[in-house]
Amino acid sequence: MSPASSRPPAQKLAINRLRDRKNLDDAAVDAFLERNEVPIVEGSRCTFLWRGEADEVLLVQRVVGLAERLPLRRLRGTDLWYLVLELPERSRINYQVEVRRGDHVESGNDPLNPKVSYSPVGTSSVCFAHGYVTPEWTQPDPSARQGELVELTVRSRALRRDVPVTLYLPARFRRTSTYPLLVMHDGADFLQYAAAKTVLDNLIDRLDVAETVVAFLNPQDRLTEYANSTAHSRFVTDELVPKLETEYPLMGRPAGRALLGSSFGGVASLSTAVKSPTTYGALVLMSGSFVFTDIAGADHGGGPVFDPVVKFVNRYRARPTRVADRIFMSCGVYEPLITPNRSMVPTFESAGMAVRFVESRDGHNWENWRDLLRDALSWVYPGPQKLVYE
Amino acid sequence: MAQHRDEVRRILDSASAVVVGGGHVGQLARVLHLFHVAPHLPRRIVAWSAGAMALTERLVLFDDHVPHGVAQTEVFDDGIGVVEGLVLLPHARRRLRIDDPVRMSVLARRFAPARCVVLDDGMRVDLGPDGALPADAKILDDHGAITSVVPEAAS
Repeated sequence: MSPASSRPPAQKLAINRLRDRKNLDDAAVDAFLERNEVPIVEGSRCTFLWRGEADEVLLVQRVVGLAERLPLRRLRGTDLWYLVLELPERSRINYQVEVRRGDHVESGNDPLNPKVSYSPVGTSSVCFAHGYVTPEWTQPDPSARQGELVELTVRSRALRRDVPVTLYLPARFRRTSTYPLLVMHDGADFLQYAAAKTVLDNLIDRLDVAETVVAFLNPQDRLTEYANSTAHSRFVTDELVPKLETEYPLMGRPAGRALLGSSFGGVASLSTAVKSPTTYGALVLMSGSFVFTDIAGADHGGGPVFDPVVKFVNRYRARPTRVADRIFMSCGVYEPLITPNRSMVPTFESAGMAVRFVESRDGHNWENWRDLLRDALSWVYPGPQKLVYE
Repeated sequence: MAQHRDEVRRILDSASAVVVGGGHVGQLARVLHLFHVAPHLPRRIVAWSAGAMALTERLVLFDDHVPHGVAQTEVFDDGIGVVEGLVLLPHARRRLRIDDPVRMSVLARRFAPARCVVLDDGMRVDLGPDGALPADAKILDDHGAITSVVPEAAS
């Protein structure tokens, strides 16, 4: 990916056609914005726009390899600002716009773009490059049978608190059957921002994924509990899983137990499995925060919250152990975490685990993790799709 | 087990026809084998989807649109074998890349001399008393094309 101005476009871009006009006035800009959806996607070229009086306008994004703040140029004689970026097919990037007027700096979502991406820390604007399509199985399907969400409270001695757990029971759940269990970290966020229930309903109904019971966990102090915390691991392995296997018809063996997490949740999944290496059959690690240093004491750049993570990952990389049969890993290529994640693949494989690693042209966000759930879940717990003809 | 098989045999002996529906072909074939159904079936059988597949000699699983990469067609198990010389492909247009003649050709030639019969949604094939396919039944030919058993110009 690079700023697109270095290469002449095969066909004149809309912004260039506007620039070439003789009578470039407010009315022309009004009509231009009326005609075009912003950002304007023309093949691999995406034109970002902002309109108004300012001293400087910047596109703020966290695509690895690009400067975090990219300046927009003002179209001569107008109050329209623009930036053309080349984005590979099927990319998706989140961004905001920063506007400076004198000493005053203001940042926020792109007022010309109604498409936003949601996360626990707020929203950001989103640009869908050419070819990106929201997977239809992430959208509610009225014909898909609906599973049920049950709220539980699990008393934890390890965490010294009552832990709220949301349990997903698949449609047509029967006590006479047995189900695999998936434990999902950051459960409320997966439900709210990654459409986890809709995805499960659809994928199970389409037989892509086996009928599965899913425990959605909700952390209290996420950055502590998910950063290689023994208390968290004890809660999951010694308290939650045994309780669920006692009270629900679960398979109760490693092949029927999996842990899933994204970002710090990926670290929590791995560290829980490391502390109990014969309990879980599969891990799903999405954009895991596997920050490490090759030289002890080197600056990892993540700040104090990453210290226990780096210590854990360094130790694991020094002596990799088999902690599950299979690991599904994914990461967006625009995330700073892409390199650490790529580096973990041979590490896991060297310990004798089967690894499936999927990269997406996306960033560190919930839509990315949502879009990869089918790949992940159908690999960990494949459905009977190939056996059912009805 | 013998008692259960005997009960099933008695029911089948008094039946003039049997209907076998679709569903999970592995479970269906397992149950049909378990209760030793094949020798006791009446001459008239109506079957669809997985039910039809279970009657054949080989259960061939196929789905070219699985979430992961290329899905290979695979022989899963023996069917009960009352329909001979045919590999049945229910919902073929939905489950197979029928617009890929090379892939379809490999499929057809792999199971030859058995014939791969295309059972699309709503399609009905009446087998003769000797199991013969009717002239208008659709099959995959060696080139991967869907064609009638007897080409229309010749029939």
